Amino acid sequence: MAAANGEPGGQRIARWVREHGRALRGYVLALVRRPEAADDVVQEVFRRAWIARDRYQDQGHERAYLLRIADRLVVDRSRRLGLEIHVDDATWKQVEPASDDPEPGDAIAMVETSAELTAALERLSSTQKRVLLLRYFGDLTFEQIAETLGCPLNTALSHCRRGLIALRRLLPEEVG
Amino acid sequence: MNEELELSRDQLEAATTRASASTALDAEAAALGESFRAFGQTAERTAGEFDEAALIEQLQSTLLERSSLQVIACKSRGARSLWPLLLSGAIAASALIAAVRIAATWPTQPPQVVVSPSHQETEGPRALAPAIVKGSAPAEASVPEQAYLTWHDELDDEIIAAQSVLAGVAGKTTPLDGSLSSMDEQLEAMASDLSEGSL
Repeated sequence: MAAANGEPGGQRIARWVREHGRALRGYVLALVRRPEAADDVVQEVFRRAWIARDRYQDQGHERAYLLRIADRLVVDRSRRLGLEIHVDDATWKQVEPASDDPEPGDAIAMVETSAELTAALERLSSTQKRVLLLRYFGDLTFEQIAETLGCPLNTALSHCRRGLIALRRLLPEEVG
Repeated sequence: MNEELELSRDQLEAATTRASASTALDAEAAALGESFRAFGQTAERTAGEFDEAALIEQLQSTLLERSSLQVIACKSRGARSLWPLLLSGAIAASALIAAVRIAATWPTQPPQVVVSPSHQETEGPRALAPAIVKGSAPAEASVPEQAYLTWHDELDDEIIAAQSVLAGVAGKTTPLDGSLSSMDEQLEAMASDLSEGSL
């Protein structure tokens, strides 16, 4: 990662979290919708980045690298859990295991989840969400987004355009 | 909004920046940009507060502690793995040295035993070490005595000598000699009878 050579491990971890933690958590939380799940994913992102720190050749795209790991983890998680990422909050509260009750802070966060964002995310396809969120939180180029999604550049551009049009239909009247 | 709205890549990039686009965008692209930023800001607000310090502390305690444990484990594993290697190496070296020494001291000719005169006068059989071993002089001192022990019985020599004498005497006797000797004995007996006047 950047300045990895000679940078003590503790300092490197702190710098990663300070520079990229908030963006990573915002990206993951927008996709998984549950704060505790997002925290777990973010921690796993940093853990994997730490393990691979010697193999990573710094190219000045640290956040893109971390977001790529996060995106892969979210996709794997959604495949593994199946319905969880697709159900709405009310349904999730009904099927949520009793032993996994959220902390009071998490419950408040769940309540504070804006209806606008939920509606927008529900209107977007999974790929459109990922393209727009990668663009917003990571400022990734479309080439990087296409590489992250594993699709051609034109496909990534098309997803972006369609996602923007879907947002435009919903958000102007409700968010501003 | 037209679903088939055509936007160039430059327009998409300008519309999807976090800051308001500095480049001139048409009304449609600008509206899309506003929607994008509203969407992103909503997502950020939803994320809420993020406890950086807690995450840093947690990561440092887990990742750095694991790294140090891995280093320790690798070191101890490396030290443990050297012991069998050293032991087998020592055994192999010992075996090699022993083989070389045995090969150097192994006699090229069978030892020849010279019996000292004092031994010939002793009675009864005795197991003796040779006084002189020919053929491997430099290594004589280190050779175990058991390697040169031989059986020496002086009675055997005497038996062999008597057998040779008897064989020689037996070889000289003939049937004629036997009859002459018996006739001589008969004549001597008659002469003694005559002299005693018994006839």
